[in-house]
Amino acid sequence: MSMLRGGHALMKRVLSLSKPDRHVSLSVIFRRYGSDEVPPNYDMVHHDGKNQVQPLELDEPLTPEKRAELAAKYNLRPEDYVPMNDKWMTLGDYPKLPEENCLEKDPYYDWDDPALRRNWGEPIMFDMDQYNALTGVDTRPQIFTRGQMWKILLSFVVPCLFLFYLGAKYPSFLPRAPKQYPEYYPGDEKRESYNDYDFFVKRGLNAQYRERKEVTNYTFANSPWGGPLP
Amino acid sequence: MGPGISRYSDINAEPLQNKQIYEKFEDHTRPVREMKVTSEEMDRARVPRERRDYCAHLWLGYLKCKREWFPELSRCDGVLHDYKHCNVDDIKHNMMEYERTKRLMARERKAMAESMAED
Repeated sequence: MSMLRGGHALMKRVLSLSKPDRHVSLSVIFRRYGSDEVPPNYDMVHHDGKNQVQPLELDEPLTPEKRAELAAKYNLRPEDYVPMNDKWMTLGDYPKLPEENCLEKDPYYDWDDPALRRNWGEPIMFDMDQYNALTGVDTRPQIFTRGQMWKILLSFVVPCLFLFYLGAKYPSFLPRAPKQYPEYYPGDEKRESYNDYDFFVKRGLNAQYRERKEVTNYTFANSPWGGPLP
Repeated sequence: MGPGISRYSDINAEPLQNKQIYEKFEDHTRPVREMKVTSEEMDRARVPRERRDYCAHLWLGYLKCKREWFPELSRCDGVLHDYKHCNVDDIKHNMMEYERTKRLMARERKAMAESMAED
């Protein structure tokens, strides 16, 4: 019972951790605002048109002043800023950022968002959802280069193919006639055929394919190794 | 490669798995291959389709031995050995059948070539 009480206290502490501190009173939240006034903290999330992504002309040259202005808009240095307004999928002045998984970043740094290893105000890559830690593309460097991978793969596959070729060219067994059975089922041909996709027939459930017939086979009088064959 | 490993093969001179060729060269004066058990006996023992061959009587003997001696299945090793030996003989029979058909095909081709030369 004491353990339960302790657990309850611990639960309260854990839940209170995720509870946001409410500095704004309810009267402020539920009051009506005029068209010209902005509610508190709304300036943090609601940008006006100039701070949102703007279209950028493809032919227009990017002057250093314009580049510095746009880089400051996305919290970037001017030399790091490359707009994504390419020919096929123009995304305006949104910056082109390196495609790196967040696993490549320092895990021991005190990130604001440890799950995505991201700081507040850091520019977000356009395809950031494809490069997260759990379900994203792992872009960390690999132990083998692509050429070494090809060599390792082919060193297994090529000898196997060569052995298959040798086995087909030089068979080490005598050829055989098809096996003889004393009965003939019409369903056997159905079961072995690749053209017939009727699985009801293939499983032998059709009665007309289960009617068997006697077959007479012939043997040799004497086998070379002595005595008759079966 | 040596002659013990490689063989010369002409695909037109081989019967392969073509059942029509075996039926064409079938000789009805040869001794009939004897089936030791009937279909009804195999039905009663519920022998699967792939074991309903000319060694089925030994398979039935193995089933009987298993039923008699279970779980001392090592007592049925001799019966199982006989069954496997029968299967090996069956394979040898198929090899001889293949060789016979192949030689008859060659004889037929030779006779046809001679008749063409005479004409």
